[in-house]
Amino acid sequence: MYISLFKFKQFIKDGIKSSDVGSSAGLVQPFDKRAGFSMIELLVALSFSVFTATGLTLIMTKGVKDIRAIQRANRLNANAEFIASTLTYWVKQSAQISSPAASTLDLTLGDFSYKTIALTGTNITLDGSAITGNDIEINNLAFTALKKSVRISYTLKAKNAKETLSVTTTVAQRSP
Amino acid sequence: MLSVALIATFGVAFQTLRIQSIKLSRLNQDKLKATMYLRELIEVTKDLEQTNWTATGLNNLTCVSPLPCHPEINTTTDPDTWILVDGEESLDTNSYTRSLTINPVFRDQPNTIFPNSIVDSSAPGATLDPNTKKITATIIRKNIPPPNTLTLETYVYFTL
Repeated sequence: MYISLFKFKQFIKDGIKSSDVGSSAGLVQPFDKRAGFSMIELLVALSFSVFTATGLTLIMTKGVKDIRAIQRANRLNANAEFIASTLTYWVKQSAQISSPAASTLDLTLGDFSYKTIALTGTNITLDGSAITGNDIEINNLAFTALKKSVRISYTLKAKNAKETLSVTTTVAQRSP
Repeated sequence: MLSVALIATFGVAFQTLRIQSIKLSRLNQDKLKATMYLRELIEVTKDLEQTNWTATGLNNLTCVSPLPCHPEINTTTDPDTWILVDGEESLDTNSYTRSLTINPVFRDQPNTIFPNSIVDSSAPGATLDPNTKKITATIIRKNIPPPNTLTLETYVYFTL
């Protein structure tokens, strides 16, 4: 069955007119112009939203803090690895090892040139050039020169943060 | 309600991701430390290779596999030297236990005849090479469930 657009509009208008808008029962009919959210519903929805938004903000803030802490920890790991591999390389190149101070290591290479690894401020330096990143500091660097090896221990700390990593390792000279 | 459900789901997923990331970061750091300690054992044997083939060094009978031993610094010498002491070693308030063992090495021909190759002790004609030792270094990470053992192996040669 087909009806024209005019007839359909008329049907709608009739429906609105015949609805029980003014009745004492106060029932909301399908075509009631008053249909919508009540104040209570709005308040409930609003309080839900505020509660959820607060929870989410707290979770996100904590999450971002933790992600930054993880990034700092990863930087510590990377620096610890880099320091260890740099020291290993130069100790393996050396013909003689001596440690004039606890935080200084003097290496005499095969061609009788010298390398000095030391703690300068909060950086480990190789002949005066820092080999540690700008975002970390070295708190303790200790060398123990043994007969054909050197024991190295150091503590890395993220700058302006609490993450630390203590490393102890030994590097032996190459066998002749 | 739909938006609350979506946001709650997102929150739970984010929290799970965050906790997993923290766990992974700790595991990475723990493994790095364990690897450093393990490498130290190998480096100590490389020092001993050049300094000590006596009973306190690479010929220490209390280190022959399966007996575990560990290195210690002997401060009675000048300069200080490494020695091997029987038993395992606990590190970082019992977070790690490390040890090394020394295995005899056999070759398919006497050490004086070249070329010769390292073979299993049960191989026909296997001859003990007293100038070569196989070192197995092991570290156990106590803070994580198995598999929590890392192992490195190397050979040392008498060159003194």
